[in-house]
Amino acid sequence: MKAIPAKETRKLLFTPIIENNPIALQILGICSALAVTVKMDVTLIMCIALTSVITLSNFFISLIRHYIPDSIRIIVQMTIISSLVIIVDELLKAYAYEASKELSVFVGLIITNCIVMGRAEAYAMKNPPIKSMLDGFGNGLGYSFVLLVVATVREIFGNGTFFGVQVMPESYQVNNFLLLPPSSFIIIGIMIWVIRSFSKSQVEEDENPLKAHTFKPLTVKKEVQSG
Amino acid sequence: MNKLIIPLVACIVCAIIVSVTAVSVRPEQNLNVENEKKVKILAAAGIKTDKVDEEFSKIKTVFVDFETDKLVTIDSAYDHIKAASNPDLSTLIPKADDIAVLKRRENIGTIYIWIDEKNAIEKLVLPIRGYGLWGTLYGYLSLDSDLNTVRGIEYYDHKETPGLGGEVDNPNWKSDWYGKRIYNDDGSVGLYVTKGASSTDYEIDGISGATLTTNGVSNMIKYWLGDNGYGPIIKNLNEEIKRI
Repeated sequence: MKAIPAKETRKLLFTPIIENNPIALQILGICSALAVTVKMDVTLIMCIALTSVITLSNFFISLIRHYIPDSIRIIVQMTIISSLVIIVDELLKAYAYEASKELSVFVGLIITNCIVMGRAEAYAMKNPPIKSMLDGFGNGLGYSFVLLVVATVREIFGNGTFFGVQVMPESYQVNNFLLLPPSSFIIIGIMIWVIRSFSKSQVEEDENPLKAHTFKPLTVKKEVQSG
Repeated sequence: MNKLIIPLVACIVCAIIVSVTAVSVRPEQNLNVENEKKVKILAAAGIKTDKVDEEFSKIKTVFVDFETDKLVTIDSAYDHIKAASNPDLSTLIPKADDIAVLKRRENIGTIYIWIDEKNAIEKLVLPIRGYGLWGTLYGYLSLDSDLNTVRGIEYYDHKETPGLGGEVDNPNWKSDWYGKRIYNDDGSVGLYVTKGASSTDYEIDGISGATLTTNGVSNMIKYWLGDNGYGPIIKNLNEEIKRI
């Protein structure tokens, strides 16, 4: 097995954070970004869970990629991904019970997370195991980056705390809207805006541009009145 | 051929790994669940603490025989939830009485009691359960020393919809239970979850969008505090406590 050049390793690990972020550019995996970003500690556990699942699933899928029959590849991928998710879920229930209760179904929903499926299908099926593993880890970092930023904003301004420690002054009136899931939409939207204003290449071409005004106002013919 | 062998091998390997993990972490998980129950029992009685075991050791756990409505002494490792599914240790509830949809009720129930220096009841916690919308809700109801006033309610396991029926875990809703009365003057259970806001001491605020769950809650209160549940023992608990 050839060693992967440092430059490529760096590219695999860090491009998914800003340049090719799975949430901000590909708009995948939004569901859990809305649901589990109220508290930092819970978010952090979710990020660790997803990153470990995507890293390992990419590795194992890539390992057997030549043996997976093409017609049933999704099912085989799902088998591996869901086994990993169940293992993570069981471990959380045993060693991080409080967090696992707050994450409830969202750990199980990693199975259907588009990022995990997407990387398995788009990368791990075509690339060797170590590279796939790095790619999975990088995408996990990209996902975690967005979630942690969203959770930071939501916890500090929605609850006045950070990792459960009071950071805002007592007089601060908490913004309850930030505790509701739709607020993440707005925060992710602002993040996408900021990222795209720095890296113009991410700006999508306008597929349906507004056409110029073609409506002609009705003109009423003035009847010449014979006097 | 490949199409059969690869999925088969993948399934078997995954199944083995998953089951080995599940079995090996089961003891830790059970420990967490037991601890969670203790935390909920304490929370129902209004005690919030980090020293769960220390607080829990102050509780006297007593067992009640639902047939004779007397306190009995049995092995303290008894689990009434397990007993309820064991035909030797439980009885089938007649359909007409089974308002909480339990099917079977254990023959011997558990009560957690705080006893003060004068050997009188300070407060107590009763395990309750009943069917909501998607499954059985398991919880604890805490009563004050007069055995007629609610101190609190906590559910430790349920399958209700998050945001709707799952709001039984909402602290605001749970706080509405504090100080509510249970028995009417004629001795029947008067406490129930109403629709909309509560207006009397016998009503609990309804939860919007969770009528079936709250009906389940009302029914389990009615069943467990009624004549087929803890009702008769509650009425002479003070004498019974002195007897044992």
